[in-house]
Amino acid sequence: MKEFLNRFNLTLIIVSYSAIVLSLYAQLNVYIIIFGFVCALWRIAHYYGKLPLIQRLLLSVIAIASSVVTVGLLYQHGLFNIMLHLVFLGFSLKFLELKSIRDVYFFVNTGFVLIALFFIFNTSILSTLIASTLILLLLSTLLSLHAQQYLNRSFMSLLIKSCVLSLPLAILLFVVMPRLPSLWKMPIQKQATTGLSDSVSPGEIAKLSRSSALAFRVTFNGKIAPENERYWRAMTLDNFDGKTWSQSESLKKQESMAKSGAGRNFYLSNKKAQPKSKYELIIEPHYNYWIPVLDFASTPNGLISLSDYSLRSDKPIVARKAFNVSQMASVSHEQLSLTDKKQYTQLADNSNKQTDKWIADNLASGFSNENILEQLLIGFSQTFRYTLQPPVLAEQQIDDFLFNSQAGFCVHYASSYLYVARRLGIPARMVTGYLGGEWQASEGFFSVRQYDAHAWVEIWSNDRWLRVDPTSYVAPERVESGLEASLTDASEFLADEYFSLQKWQSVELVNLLRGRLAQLDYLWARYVVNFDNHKQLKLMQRWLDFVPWINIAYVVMSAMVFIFSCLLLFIFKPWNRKKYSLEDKIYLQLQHYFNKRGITRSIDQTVSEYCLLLSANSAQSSALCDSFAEGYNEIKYQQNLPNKQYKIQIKRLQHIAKQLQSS
Amino acid sequence: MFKQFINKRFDKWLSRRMPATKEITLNSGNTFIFPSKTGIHFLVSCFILFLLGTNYQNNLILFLVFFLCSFMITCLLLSFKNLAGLIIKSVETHAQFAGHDIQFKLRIKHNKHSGQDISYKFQHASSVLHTIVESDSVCLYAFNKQRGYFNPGRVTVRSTFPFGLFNVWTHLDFGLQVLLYPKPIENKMSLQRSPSNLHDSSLNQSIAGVDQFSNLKNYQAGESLKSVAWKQVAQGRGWFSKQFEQSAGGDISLDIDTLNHLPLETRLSYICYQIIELERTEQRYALSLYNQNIEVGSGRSHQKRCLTALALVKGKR
Repeated sequence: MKEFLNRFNLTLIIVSYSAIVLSLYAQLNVYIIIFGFVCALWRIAHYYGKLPLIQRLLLSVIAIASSVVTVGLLYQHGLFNIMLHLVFLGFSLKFLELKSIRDVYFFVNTGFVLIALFFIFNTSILSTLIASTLILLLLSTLLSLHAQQYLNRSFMSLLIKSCVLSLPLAILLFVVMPRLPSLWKMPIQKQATTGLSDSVSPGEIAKLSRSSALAFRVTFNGKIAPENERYWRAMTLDNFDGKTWSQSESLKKQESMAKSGAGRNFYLSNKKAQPKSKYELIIEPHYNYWIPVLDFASTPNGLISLSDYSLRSDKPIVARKAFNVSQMASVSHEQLSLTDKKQYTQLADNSNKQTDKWIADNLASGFSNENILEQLLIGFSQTFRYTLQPPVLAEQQIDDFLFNSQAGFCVHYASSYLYVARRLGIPARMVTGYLGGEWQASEGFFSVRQYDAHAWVEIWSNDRWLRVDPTSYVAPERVESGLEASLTDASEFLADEYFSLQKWQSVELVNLLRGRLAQLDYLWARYVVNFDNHKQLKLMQRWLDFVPWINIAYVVMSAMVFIFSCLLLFIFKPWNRKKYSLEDKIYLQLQHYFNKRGITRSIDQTVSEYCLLLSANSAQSSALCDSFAEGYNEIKYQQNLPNKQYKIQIKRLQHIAKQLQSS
Repeated sequence: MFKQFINKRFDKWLSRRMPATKEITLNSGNTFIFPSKTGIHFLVSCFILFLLGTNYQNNLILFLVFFLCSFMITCLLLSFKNLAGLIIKSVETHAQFAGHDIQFKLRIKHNKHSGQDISYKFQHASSVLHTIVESDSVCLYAFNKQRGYFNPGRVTVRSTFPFGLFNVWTHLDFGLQVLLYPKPIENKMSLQRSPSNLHDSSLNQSIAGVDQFSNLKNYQAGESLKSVAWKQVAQGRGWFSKQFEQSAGGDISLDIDTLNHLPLETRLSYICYQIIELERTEQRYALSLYNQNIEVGSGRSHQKRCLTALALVKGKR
């Protein structure tokens, strides 16, 4: 069979294939990637005449077999992954039957679908740049099929030109096209959740503290919450089994009820009260339901609030998402029921004897509950040490921590404080979330990273929940200036990320660069990735306010017409359609002059013939006419005329023409 | 059936809209532009992407969709621009023999950057030969067995440049026409001396067409192999070609009525062959057809006259 691809085509195809595989590398199964590359190699071998293409029947067998294997491999990973891999499989198998231009088109179209799937996972500005490179590669594959004689430079310029020219209309469409709601429910990828999980044992938060990945970003509208108030509540944990804190059954039940729509508001914020502050959250995908908020958040649209003052989304957050939240000064508290009280004072059976003894001793010496807790906190601030790499605790965790190791991080402190409080019969619960955030001064937002993860305690006193952060007693810097400051040993900070930019905060330039990148990415997330109907409406409203007498539909239409006509002008360039040279201009002017005096040139006449006609029909001397024809032809048909010479001759011709017209 | 009807109507409409001319400049008035099959596939995949983007509420996918749609529009303009302004001029084609591939030549002129990747074809292809496209001219091939004037029909100019998403095409009528002589068929038709030359028939008793061998000459490359003196070659005396002396006196008359038992077309083909042979051997001949007689003569123009007359003989109906 004749090879229809040339080396350039095939190279482009292979390069774009590899680039797409590379960009989706994290999502794809290794075996399927290997299979894909075998297909690609097969096609290359065929190009050099080493291997035949595969027969149609055999190909179908391979396709079915590999699909079955794929489904089998990824059965547990959910429908979305299966879908992604099947698309990818089709993409790879196309290599084995790439035998006509139509197959290349199929290849390119599948490539676009894969890029769309890439966008589901990645929405940052960097990945958008990567994706645009992929799109360029795919389009150049198309172009290479049709512009085989094109030189390298004009090939690139045509490609870039056509893309750049398409951008304005695309942007306009993006801004004005209304967004439809989801038409049907699509499978979402099952992926390990990142960030906080719904149970905490010492060690989990330490793991998070090694990651500088972004958790979410916040912009305050107006007043910014002070440092010691920036406790971003994600969830409360009220069940303790001696090692791990987790959510009790009743809390879980409430959450699942809320998600299924049985009730959206489990606590009532005081509606009439003015919100203390308003802020916009942009949450990075964590494949979980929680939304980190300050106390106490009103419920924005599409979210659920639970009785423990935390917010939940009814769908896992798989893409970067923005929410507008108002912060209330207070909420109406309900009294704890007996069952609640029981839950909040629940403790595991295997008690920590040493701690119990310490409490009993204190009680015996007549200290009140409050006094005992205060003593504990004072103890924390005196002899305890804050570290992310604490020694491993023995079976009786609380005992071992309080009386033996005395080194740990937020979960250790919160956990032991809770234990003591509950032992004393005070209802208490653990709250997990994030603390603080890094202020991006230039753009005015906070970025909260995974290493800002934190755990603290709430105890029930005076008919309301009171926040106590035991960690702040051992490491007050943790609250005031973040994790890095609170660590006495700097190497503990981001111990696993050798190349993280966060580690180089002291270098000015890196800091600047990092800030710029974060800022760009933030703007991207805020205005592009989360541009929804609501924002669209607001934008249009602003336009309407600007020119109130104009109808938005007309504006949009005329903008489209304007862009289209610009496109037309730019592509066809009517201004250099008829470019006359100087000698032609003189000649035309001469014709125009004599045309008015009744001597017209017929189309097939040459200059010499025309000049003969002139001398015959007018009073002009034939010598002058001849010299015009001669001069014109000399300029027109002499090759490589030097510029200086050209100018002289043009001047002479002009002179002759003037003489012809003067008499 | 229905398709045929549509095609017929379309051809009629075309001939009204674009009558035959020698020179055509392509513009919006005479070109058609539709999404190609691949363009439609492209739109379908755009729609799939739109569904993906909507269902996942992903703005970047939606932007990709809008970009691709907008790209489609840019392509529409670019692919039209590629053909617009192309000037095509037909070149006169000389008369040829039927039953051969006939070459038609078009001169093309375009801007430096436009006119890429254009295919030229006859709307109703009749030859298996591919079109040859050069930078300033195009050679198209057609095939016909019938003698007489032959019109190969409209020329289809088509391009999917630059991205293959649009098909810009047009059927152009250049009024291409070529005269086809009958296909020469080799034969040993007995030829008659014309009666006017009978007075010196005493000198030429031999049957006309079989010329007298006169002498041997050194063979020169390019001479017909038929005239090679194979005997001498076999004897190892070198290459010679046989020289024939033509009977200068005997004018030959070719008459359509001589071989009455054969069908007309065969007779025309026979005569055609004889004319070529007679011209090659530089003899004088006359031709008489049903309603046309051509005087004795020789030379290129005489031959052309005779062949033209042959080509245009009206068949018996």
